[in-house]
Amino acid sequence: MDVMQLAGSLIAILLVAYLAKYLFPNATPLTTERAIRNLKRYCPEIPDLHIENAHYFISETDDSAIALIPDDFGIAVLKQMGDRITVRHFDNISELSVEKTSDSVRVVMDDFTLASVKLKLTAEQIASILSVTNDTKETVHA
Amino acid sequence: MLDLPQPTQVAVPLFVAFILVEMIHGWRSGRIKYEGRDTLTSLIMGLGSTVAGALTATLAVGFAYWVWTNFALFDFGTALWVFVLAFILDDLAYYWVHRMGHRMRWMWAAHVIHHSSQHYNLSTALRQTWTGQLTPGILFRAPIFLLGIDPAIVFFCAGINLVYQFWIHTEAIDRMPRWFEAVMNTPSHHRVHHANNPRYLDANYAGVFMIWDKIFGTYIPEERSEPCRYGLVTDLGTFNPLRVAFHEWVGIFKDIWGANKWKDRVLFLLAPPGWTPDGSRMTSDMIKTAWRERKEASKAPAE
Ligand SMILES: [Zn+2]
Ligand SMILES: [Zn+2]
Repeated sequence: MDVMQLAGSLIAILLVAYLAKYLFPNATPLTTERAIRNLKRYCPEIPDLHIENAHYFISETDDSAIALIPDDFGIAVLKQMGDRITVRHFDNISELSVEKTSDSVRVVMDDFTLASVKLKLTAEQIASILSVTNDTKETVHA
Repeated sequence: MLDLPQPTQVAVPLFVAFILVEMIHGWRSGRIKYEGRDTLTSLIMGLGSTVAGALTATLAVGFAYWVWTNFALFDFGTALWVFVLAFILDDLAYYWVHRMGHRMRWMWAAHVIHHSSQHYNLSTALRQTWTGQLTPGILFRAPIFLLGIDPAIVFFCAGINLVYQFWIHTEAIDRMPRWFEAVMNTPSHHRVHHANNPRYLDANYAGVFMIWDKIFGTYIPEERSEPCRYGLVTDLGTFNPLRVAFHEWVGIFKDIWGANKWKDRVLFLLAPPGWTPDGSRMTSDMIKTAWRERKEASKAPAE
């Protein structure tokens, strides 16, 4: 394959992908309802009721969320990938770290394809998340 | 050396044309979904696979000709029936390469790419590996070279096999005629193969002829009551082609690096994806068992 062929292929790829984006715009934001549905699918071992009663923090950007699941069922991180949702679940909150900025938190994970997720949240929500994650860190380090 | 065209290269313009047709059909009918970044990643993976294949082809070709030149039992020549025989034998070899591609993590590291989209459309067919030549896959075709069929014929048939598999990556076709579904790989059978519903895991490895799955016990039909949900058991959180191409290799490397026994290091390569010495992750067998147990439990009468 020569350089011209490679360049031509790249242009064709960009045009086809652009057409896909144009014809199928993403109109489905990440809502609590979608988060629940995807969490049930990804974590079938967690009772449905616990997933429904989890505390969901949905980013104001509608593309990421975290769920604090009651009764020691851990924490889930959700990220919108195009029009689909990718989920990660951690039994223990200490498996991820949370960094705070003025209007958002960044959840950092040891994961090669989902290294971090940023959530734009209210000050109250940020404080709420930090209280849980910091509590856990303290007990882990105690 | 026999000089035959590369079927996948010749078919590229047709691939693009059919993707456009499916995309417009999906847009008009509302029955098929494409997504811009997903399509972009799939097509970039396809182009990358062609480039990587050209760069590493000498590994497989060299091995094939070494076996054929030195150890071939018979001289089959180049008659038409030899092409037919080669196609059938290569399809059988493909079944086993593909099955091991799901059951051995070393080979899964290369094949996982093809399953990494959460969509299922013709562009998914082009989401191909960049690292196929870095696995022991070619060994499964060695018996064909040993028998005495010219590797050029085998590689030509393997190309035709891949071209055949393009059209089955679609939700636009529900079911083909019954006789066709019985013998050939079809969109319905291959949707099951790409599904991550526990019911459908590790099934339908066929390339062209569905009979191999039926003979070797890996056939699962698509159930109307359970629509396929596509992607990996743990879906990717990135569209970055480099991360898509190498994520499982990185995972294997980390696991081997962190292991403290040689047996574990070897098993991180040869055992099924998800295997760990302490069972802390789930293999597909474990996921299926847990699914069956949940199903049984939900059927059991309440006490
Ligand atoms: Zn596969
Ligand atoms: Zn496929």
